[in-house]
Formats: sequence, structure tokens, C-alpha cells
Amino acid sequence: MPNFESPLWLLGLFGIPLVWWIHRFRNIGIDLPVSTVVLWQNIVCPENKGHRPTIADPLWRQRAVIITAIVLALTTPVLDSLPNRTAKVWFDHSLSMHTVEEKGTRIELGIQQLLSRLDTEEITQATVHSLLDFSHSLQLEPHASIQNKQALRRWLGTLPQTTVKALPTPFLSKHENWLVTDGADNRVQDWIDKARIDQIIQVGSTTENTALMLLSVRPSLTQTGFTGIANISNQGHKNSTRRLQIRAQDKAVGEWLFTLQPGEIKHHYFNIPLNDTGLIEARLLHPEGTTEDALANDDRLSLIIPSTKVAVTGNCGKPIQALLQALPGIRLVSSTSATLNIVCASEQPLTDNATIWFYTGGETQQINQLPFWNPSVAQLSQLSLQPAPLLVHTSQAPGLEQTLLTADGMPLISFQSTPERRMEVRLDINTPQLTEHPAFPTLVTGLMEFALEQDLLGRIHTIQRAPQETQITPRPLHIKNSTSLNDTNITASELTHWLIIAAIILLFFDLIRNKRVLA
Amino acid sequence: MGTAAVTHPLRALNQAELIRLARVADRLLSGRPKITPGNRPHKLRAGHGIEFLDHRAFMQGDNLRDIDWRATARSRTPQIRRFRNETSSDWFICLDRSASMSLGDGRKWGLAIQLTAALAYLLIHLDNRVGLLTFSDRIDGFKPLGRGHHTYAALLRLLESTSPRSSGGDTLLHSCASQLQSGSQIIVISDFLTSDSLQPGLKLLAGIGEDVHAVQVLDEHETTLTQSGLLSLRDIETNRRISIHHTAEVQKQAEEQLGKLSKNLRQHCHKYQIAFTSCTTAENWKTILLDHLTSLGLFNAKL
Repeated sequence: MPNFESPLWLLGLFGIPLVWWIHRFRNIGIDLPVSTVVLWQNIVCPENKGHRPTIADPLWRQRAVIITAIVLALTTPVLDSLPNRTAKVWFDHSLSMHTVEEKGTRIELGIQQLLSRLDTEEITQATVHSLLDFSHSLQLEPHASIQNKQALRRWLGTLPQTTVKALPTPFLSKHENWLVTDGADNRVQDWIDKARIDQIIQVGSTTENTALMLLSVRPSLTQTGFTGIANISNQGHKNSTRRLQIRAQDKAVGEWLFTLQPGEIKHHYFNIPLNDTGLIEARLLHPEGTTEDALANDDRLSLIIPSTKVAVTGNCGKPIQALLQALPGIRLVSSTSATLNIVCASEQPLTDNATIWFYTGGETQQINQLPFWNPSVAQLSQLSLQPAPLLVHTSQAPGLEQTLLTADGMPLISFQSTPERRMEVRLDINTPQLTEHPAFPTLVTGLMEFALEQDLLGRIHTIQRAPQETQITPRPLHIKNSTSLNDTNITASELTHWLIIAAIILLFFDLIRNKRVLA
Repeated sequence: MGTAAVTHPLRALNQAELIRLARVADRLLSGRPKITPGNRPHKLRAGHGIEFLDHRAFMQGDNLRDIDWRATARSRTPQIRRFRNETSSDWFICLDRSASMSLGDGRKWGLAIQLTAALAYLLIHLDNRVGLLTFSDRIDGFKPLGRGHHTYAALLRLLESTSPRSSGGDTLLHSCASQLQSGSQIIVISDFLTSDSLQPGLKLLAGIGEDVHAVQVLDEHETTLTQSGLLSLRDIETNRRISIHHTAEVQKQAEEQLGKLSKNLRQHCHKYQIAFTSCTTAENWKTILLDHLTSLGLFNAKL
């Protein structure tokens, strides 16, 4: 059934009897001029009784239709557009949408309210798009709420939980644009204004949230293992008490209790006395007697500290083994799975990856001059190796293309980068003068960093959240521009145009007929 | 067809035929055996003659000075004296140019102006003064009384430049009364197709003029309608409309109605001593004039 935007115009239909009445006074038939109608005035025929037609001109029906069409056009009829209403639903599934409310998560509430609204508004076709990545979409089945709810849950479960990083701009179309969000991200309102959203389904009311904002770890320069920092932020409006737990190798290595003021950020430094950690995780736990956090997803941060696999083969001695075991992030493995081979042998090792070869064959000789570093070895250039009692093997000079360290005119360490990074060292690795030298750990570590092109001791591993990710307080949203009204007008005007066209066509035929009669 | 359409009806007037007709008219129009013998028309013009002719009943338009009070006392009705006219007559031809004269593809109008021109020629040839009025619901054209060939030429020019109205208006013979001189001879050429057949107008003119002639010109297909079925007939003059379902029976009834109107008109003319002739476009102007002149002779003989 059509709806009329200006139904008062329908009163004009009461004028149709007037059309009939007027046509009673119009002589019917083909117009024919005569000298006088006196000759026919006494001729009685049904159409000419009393010199006036007793029946209305049949044309009155056509003109009544014309007037009806015009009156209906004036009422701006709108065909029941519900069967044709389609909607694009932009679903916000950012981190804040996982906040747990009294009746479930915001995503669950959004699904329920969306399906309810779709039924209420009698939307027959709806496509749900991810607000975070509009390339992901889900076509909802018409009039299938249960199936749609399950499909939406599955679909949202597959989407990555990220923040609103890049809000899409929907194209202006005949579709209505709906938005399901909690309004926690302050950029959503700007997007609503640009995207011309028609309806907003806003869910969520919780405001209290404490979140882990940062977890950063690096090898400790002063102690064994790693040192790190964790930032905790209270995004709510009340004081929050939380316990920070640091875990490594799936074991708790430390717990600390904090009470944060609203908006306060705590920085906590910690040490992990383990060299090979693997997974480091920070957790925010709520102590007994405190309320559970509404958004649990931002209460954890984890880092995977990659280990450098080193194989030591040959007669390298215990000092270097002890040194490698003391370095954080180093894992001693067999040579088949190592990324760095440290070989102490008199024969040139055959390896396929980075290698440091300590030559152990032949005679040794004490050098008298201060060794000189090649400037290309920036990280070792400041390392001072006292000449006495440094022993070097002199029977065979290193044969690689680039000399890194020289003394007494002899190359002590040489290097080549292809086919694999390889280093030949003529320093005697087994002599206590070298292994007990204060610069020995730094020398070995520097050679390893040069060979691997990695910063073994200075690497910092960090994971952090943007502040807006943990903001869950809903902001009031409002619609400035809407496309649905335009769409409704388009539908209405289309029907109006049809009526006007019909009226014009009928008028045209009426005119043609009248001209023919007059002719 | 195209040539016939552009040829003016007055071109059909033949000078030789007009002259021959004039000789006949000379005898017919002058033949008043009861009143005055002679070869010239001697018309009755009250107040302008010396010899008493007769009395007749007072009519609207008569001069009060012409009332014979003694005769009035004797007859107990107003009587006026009439005197024998000793000069040639003044003739007014009243030509109807109402819209109804335009129908019939112009043949009706063509015949009407042919008759007008021929009558004017005959009357001028008989040394009468002739004036012309064209009228519809008013006087549309007027040529004052005149004599001679230049008057005839002027009348022809007026007729050539005159055409019937295309629509609207009415046929009111009363409108001519203001220009007509009392005692003049009056010829009315019209289709007389009005609801009253111009009878009141003829009665009025009969009071003004000495003699009144009425020539009814009808289209031969006056009642023939080109369309059949449901028709909306529109009076071309009054725009009054009636709807009819045209059948052969209806056409027959319309012809009977036309005959009835003509019969009533003829009786009306007889009552007021008006010479009446009815013709259609199927007839020739010469034949019509001869018929009228012949009937005029008989008419006068009856007088």
C-alpha cells in the first residue's frame, strides 16, 4: 500500500463528481457546424432530450483519471519501500568492543541489537562490513535472525582484533548505512559525519578499564638475564588496584601490586634472571576483593625473545663456553642447527653459515705492538688489547680478504662476507693471557655481533598499545547527514513522476481527440 | 476545382443575359394593370405624390401626418392615405452576411451576391435608385441610394469585398430599419434560418417600405450532415449546441422541419403582402430571378 506524504490532497478526489456534472453540459459527439440548430431541435433522441444530453460525455471518465493522477501526484505517494530497503552495516569490532557489560560483550550486544533493529525496520537485505577493514563483509539472510546471529559470531571471530585504524568511506548509494559501535574511539564521530550514516546502534556503558600499555625487554648490561619495563594505565574514572605479573618460560618471575589513580600511568622496571627466555608475558591480575576488569583483552602483553643459536666445536676451552652461557639470548646448539659456528681448530672448517674460526695450529708468538683495528669494525674500534702477553699463531697468516685487526705488521683477524660471513682469528684462544684478559668477553661478543650483523646485547624488544585502544568509555554520537531521507524522496518522486507522465499522456490523447473532433 | 474555388461568383453574371432579363423585368415590374399603365414603374410614395391612390391600415412606421381622420372615423381603425408616385422608385437591397450564409462551401453566399448584383443591375437599368445594406446582427456595410452605372459599379465593388462572417453574431433584420427610408422598396436576401425566420423583422420592414421582397437562399444540402452517428450540432451563429444521433430518419425529420419553416415564412410574407421566393444553390440565379419576377407580376396582379 502506498503512503501519502500530503494526504490532504486526497480531498481533491471529491471533485471528480464535479467533472462528471460538468460533462453533462457538454454536448457529446462529433462537432458539426450548421446554419441553425432549429431544424433538429425538435428531434427527440436519448442523447438529446430537452436539447441537452442526459448522459455525460464519456470523456469525463478519461478526465477523471487525469485529475485523479494529478491529485495523487500532489499527495507525493510513496510506495511501501520496505521490500526494497537495503542496508550496509558497518560493524566496529575493535578492542573496546570486547568489553564485557552486564549482559555480555559489546559485540554480542551489538549483534542482538542489530538483528532486532533489522527486523523492526524490516530491512530485507543487509550486508555487514568490518569497520576496520571494509574488504571483509558478510551477507545476512533475510528473516533469519538465529542463523544470522550465529553467522555474525563466527564471522566476527575470524576478524583480527585491532583498533579503528583506517575508517572506510562508504559510497553514497541507495543503501542505508548503519553503524554498530560503542563510540569509544573519538575518530568515529568524524567518520560518521563524512560517511553519512543513517542509523547508529551504540552499545556499552562501562567506563572502568586498567590496561597494560607497554612491555619492553632488553638484555641486562649489569646482571644476568634481561631487564624490562611495563607501563600500566588506568583509563577509568575510579582508583584501580592491580597486580602485575611477569612470566618467562611460562613461569611467574615476579609480581607487584599497584594502585592507580584515574588516568595515572605507572612505569615498572623488572629483571628476569634467565638468559634464554623465549616468551615473556606481562599480566594484569585483579587482587581478591577488587572488581574484575571489564576489558580483559588489554590486560596482557607478551614478547617472544628470539635466541641466537651458536655452536662451539673444537678445542675452544671452557672460558668461551662459560662466556656464551652467560650472554642473554644465546642458546648453545649443535652445529647443524646453529646460526653461528665458533670453531677452534687447525684446519679450515667447512661450514655453510656464519663462522668464527680460532686457529689453533702451529707456533705461537707474542706480539709487541698495540693491535690496530680496521675502522670498519666500529663496535670494536675502541677496544684496547694490551700487546703483552698477547699470543698469536704466526705459522699461517689469515687468508681472508679484509683484515680487521693487525699488529706488528701481521694480520690477526681477517674477514670475508661471501659466500658466508667468515672470520679467521689468529689470537690464541687457549692461552690465559687472552681468556683472562678483561676485554675478552667484549672481544668475543663484538666478533659475534660483527659475524651475525646483530646487536646481541643492545637489542630492545617492545610491544605497546595506543592509548585509544584501551579507551572504552562510550562517547555520545549523533548523525549530521543522512542519506536515507534522500533515498525515500527518490522513491517518492519516482512514483510522482509516473503519475505526472500518465496524466500528460492522457492529456495528450485528449488534445488529439479534441483536435480531430474540431477538424 | 481549384479554379472554381478562386473564381468569384460575380464573374458568373453574364452581361447579355442581364440585358435580356432587364427587358423581361421591364415589363413585369412595370406591369401594374390595376393601378397605372405605362412602361415605367410608378411606385406609391406617400407625401410625394399628388393623385390619391387608396387607403390602408396604419402600420408601425407610418407618418402620423398621413392619417386620414375621416376614413379612420368611418372604419374605426387608423387609416392612412396613399398617393400615386409619379417618379422612379428607391430600392434597398438588404443582404444577409451572417455566419449561416458562409456554409455550404460558399455556394449559398455566392448565389446570394449573384442575386443581389443581378437585381441591382435590373433596378438601375429601370432607372431606379438602388442602395445596398449588408447586415448580420448589425449593419456591416452600407451603400447609399444611387443611380446609374457608377452606382452599379460601386455596388459590385462592395459585394466583391464583402464576405460572410465566419462565426458568431446573429441575423437581426431590425438593424436595417434605421437606414431604410419610408416608402422605399426593400428586397431582403437571406436564408431566414433563425428560430423566428426573421418574421418580426419582415413585419417591421413591411411597415417601412412600400413593397418588400424576400428571397430565401438555402443550401441544397442544408439538412444533409456529412457525419453519421453521435453528432454535436453547433449553431454557427449562436454557438448553441445540441447532440443528435444522426440517422436517415433524423435527416428526414430535419428536412420536414425546414419545409415547415419555409411554409410558415411564406404564409407570413403573404400576410404582410411581401413577395417571397425560396431557392437553393442547386438553382441558377437567372431562373430564380425569373421565378421571382414572374411571381411578382402575379402578386401585383392579385393586388
